[in-house]
Amino acid sequence: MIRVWDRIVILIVVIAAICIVDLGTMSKKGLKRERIVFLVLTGITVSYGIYFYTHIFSASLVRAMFKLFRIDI
Amino acid sequence: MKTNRDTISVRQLMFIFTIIISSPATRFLPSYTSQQAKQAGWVSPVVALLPLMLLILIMNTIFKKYEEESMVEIIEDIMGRFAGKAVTALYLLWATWLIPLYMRYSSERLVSSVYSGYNNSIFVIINLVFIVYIIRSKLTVIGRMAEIILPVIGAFLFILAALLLPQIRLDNVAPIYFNDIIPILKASRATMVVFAYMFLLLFLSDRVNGKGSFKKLAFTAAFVNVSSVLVVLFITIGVLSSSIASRSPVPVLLAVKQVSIADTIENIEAIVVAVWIFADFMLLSAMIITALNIMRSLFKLSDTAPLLKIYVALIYLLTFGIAANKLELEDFSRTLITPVNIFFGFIVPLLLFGVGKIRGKL
Repeated sequence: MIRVWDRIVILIVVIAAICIVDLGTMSKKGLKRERIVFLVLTGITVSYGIYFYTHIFSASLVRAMFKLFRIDI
Repeated sequence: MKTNRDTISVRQLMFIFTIIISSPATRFLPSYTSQQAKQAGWVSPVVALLPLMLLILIMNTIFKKYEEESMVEIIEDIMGRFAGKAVTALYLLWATWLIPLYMRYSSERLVSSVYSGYNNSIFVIINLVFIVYIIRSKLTVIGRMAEIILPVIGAFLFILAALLLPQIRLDNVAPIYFNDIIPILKASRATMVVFAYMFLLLFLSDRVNGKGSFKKLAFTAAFVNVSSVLVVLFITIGVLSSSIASRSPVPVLLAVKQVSIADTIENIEAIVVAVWIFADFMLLSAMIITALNIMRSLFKLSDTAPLLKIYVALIYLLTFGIAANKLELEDFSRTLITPVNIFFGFIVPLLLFGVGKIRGKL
């Protein structure tokens, strides 16, 4: 059984590996705007990932949408 | 922003559209239409043809004026810079919502139909790895893949229809009375939900060549799609009856299981599963490319290839975070996705056309 913090560590390691490879490529090519969008996407991914793994049994975007639009199912 | 490399033809785009339709059409439409319109549910795609044709005419008018521009540039020019960017950002959110939704559906369908007991994250990871690999090989590859896969799917549908013809009971698909008109109209919303992806795919318009033939090819695709969806619904409701089709989780698979020729050719549902895997793969690849293309035009990026892996990582997390179980996904499809897809797929293009006419841009 993988624990919550193990999942978060795996997530951060995977994202760090993606960052090293892709940011390196972008720096070499001089893609400044791309680097900003990439970092924003990385921030969203890591923060959502941490939220998701710490609320793994209750996290549901669909349920949040139902609450937002006050839909009874 | 016209790119000379990595472009596809309108014909290839329509092939992709037709394959994309086949996945939700076999999963969602038979149960929804038979629930809404009972034995008359199979007629509902004909009603959905009208809004699709209207969308094609609107887009043809827009493409006559804006031949080279991307859809984001078109929206910004017609609606103004700020409103245009806001609308495009909403489309990016819509695409980012749909991709994990279909990814989850794709894996849940495999688990519930063939691979029961398997962890669906295996299918999600395999799918995403292949998608990253294919998308790195450019859009042209997806276009060519569509040209190969679509005839196979078409031939399979034709053979399936022929094999299931003796099993169809006419009292399952008839009679259709005047008082079925309202239920048919309600059921047609489901087909419109699926056809709404035409506009999402048109965000690839700056990477599509020969838009002069858009109207002709899009009309052909519309008629082909309506006919094939109609055949799928006719077979499923005709074989199973509307009451079973509306209750079954995967009615098409259940209908295909009825195929038996001289007690020798049976269990051909494995072919349906193979078709689903191909169709879902095309759907997800095309949607991810579309989302990246929207990002490229929205943020004025020169290259989106470095964003692919991190975007796919986000999709992986969203796939599992979107819903706790299959029941929630199905409730979502029945309630919220219908108005949202119709809004983004039909109403916004209509608004775009209206604003364009008022501001003298079209």
